[in-house]
Amino acid sequence: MAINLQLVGEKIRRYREQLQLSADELSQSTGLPMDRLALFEAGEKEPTGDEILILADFFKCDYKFFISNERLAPFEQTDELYRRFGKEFSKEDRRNIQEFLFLCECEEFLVNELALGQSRQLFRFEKTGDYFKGHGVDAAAKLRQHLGYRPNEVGMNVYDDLRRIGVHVFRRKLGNSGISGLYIRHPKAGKCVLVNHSEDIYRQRFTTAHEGAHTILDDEEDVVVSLVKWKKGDLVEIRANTFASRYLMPPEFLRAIPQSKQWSAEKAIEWASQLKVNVEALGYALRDEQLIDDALLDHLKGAHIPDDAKVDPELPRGLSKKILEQKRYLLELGLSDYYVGLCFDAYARGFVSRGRLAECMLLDDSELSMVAELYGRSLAYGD
Amino acid sequence: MEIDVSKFIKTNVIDTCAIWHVLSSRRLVSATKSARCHFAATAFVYYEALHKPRKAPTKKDLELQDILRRERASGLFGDCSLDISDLQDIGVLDNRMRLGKGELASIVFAKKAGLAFMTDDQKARKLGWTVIDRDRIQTTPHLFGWLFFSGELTDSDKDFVITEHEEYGGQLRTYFEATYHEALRCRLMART
Repeated sequence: MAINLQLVGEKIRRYREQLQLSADELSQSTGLPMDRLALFEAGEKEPTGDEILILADFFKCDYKFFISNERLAPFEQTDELYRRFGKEFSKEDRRNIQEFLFLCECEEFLVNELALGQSRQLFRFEKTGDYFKGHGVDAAAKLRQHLGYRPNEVGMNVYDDLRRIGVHVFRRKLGNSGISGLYIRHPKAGKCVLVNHSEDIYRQRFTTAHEGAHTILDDEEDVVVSLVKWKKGDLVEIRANTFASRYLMPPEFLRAIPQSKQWSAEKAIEWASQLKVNVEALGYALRDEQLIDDALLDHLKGAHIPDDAKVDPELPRGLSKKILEQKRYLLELGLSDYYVGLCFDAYARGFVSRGRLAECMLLDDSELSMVAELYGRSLAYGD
Repeated sequence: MEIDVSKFIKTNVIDTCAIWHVLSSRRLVSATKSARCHFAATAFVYYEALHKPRKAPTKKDLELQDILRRERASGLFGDCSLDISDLQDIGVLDNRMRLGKGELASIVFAKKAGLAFMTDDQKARKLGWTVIDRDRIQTTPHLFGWLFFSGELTDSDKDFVITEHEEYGGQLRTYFEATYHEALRCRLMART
């Protein structure tokens, strides 16, 4: 297959620009000489196969993306993301997003290899009318029903709920704490949600449901970014918040709370803790159900669950200091117990090699041994 | 045992993991040189081993990198390079999501040049069988056993090599022990 050098060069240049890297920085990171990189970008020189692999490794994409015309990487989507929201993302965040998209691509591959895709319960919701808030209400109720929840039942693992409907969800630290999360439609992996791990764990849970709404209600979009501070009239965000609120705090549940119209700060803290949401989110849900008025909502907004009472399900109490540090490090990379398990299951069944296992988890060789030990998994050397 | 330690292909295209295992013992390296074995690594593997940033390299990791630079200069490790067309091979494209890029690059070059591929990962070996012949995929324990069989290593070297290997965090003790005993058996059989 003949290679279009102009196209290869353009892909390298645009990727470099998306990540806000100078030619010198790309050269230093990859070890490829600057003059060669300049010739590649100008379409005047064909890279070697090794150089293509090095660039694919650095840009965290399938190497075939560089040598074919297939839409294998979410290149157009990230282009759009930075065109529309460029100033929101630092250089470091852009790198994080690149790695997040790579994790989604790996996850899609692993799920298919392990034949787990068959058990997905794909969900489609048709919006009718132009009442945005109503879309959120209906979609939350339909999804809860689709996943088999009783009307007053609250699922505690919203990450898993989204995975069940085929969405890739990763929590990863973004430097810009003004971003709660984002949704990107990956040409190979499908719907991908990134939740800003810098936020508190209850906020992350709400953001996950909020981004879930975008995957269901805004799936015609390639990219949706959710900012902590958004314009009050933004109907798309209002709709996603309504969905998240209804999904995590269904009205049937709220109404079944004893003395559901009588609330104090202590009671709100207690129930918000049970629902694993912040008190403010519970307050809005109660107000929307007309269980409290605006004045009481304002009062409840002043109540907070202490940070040390919010336990990340991936970091349960009782872990040793060393394990806690290791797991924190992995979580910051976006590596949840679910994803690590998926990677090692695929390795154990021979679907991926050790080298690919390390790549899928963004780890180097010595880190891979550490993670294997942490999760009680083994690396196979024998016959 | 699946490995025949009485035979070993002396020129191997080697992946990153196997490089560290070979270099983890100075005694193993000197016996390998004495036996006139030679390794070739692709530019990607050198990038992975020497250039790619690591988050928290240990003192031992940095020592191994220095040894690799030295042994590359000494000629024990040569260079090889892939073309884009090598990456377009259907068998290679089919395996690109299953193998690490270093493993893939090494397999591709070994296939192209008709050389053996050396890797210590069981899964990489099995996936490699779909691209190159089974008997052209070798391991560090295989090399270790063959060096005993051919007399380049002696009984007194066994524990010394394993100790050096473990000091660098190597986990091949069981396999070294197995191929050592297999070498003894093969030598005995060869005498009778």
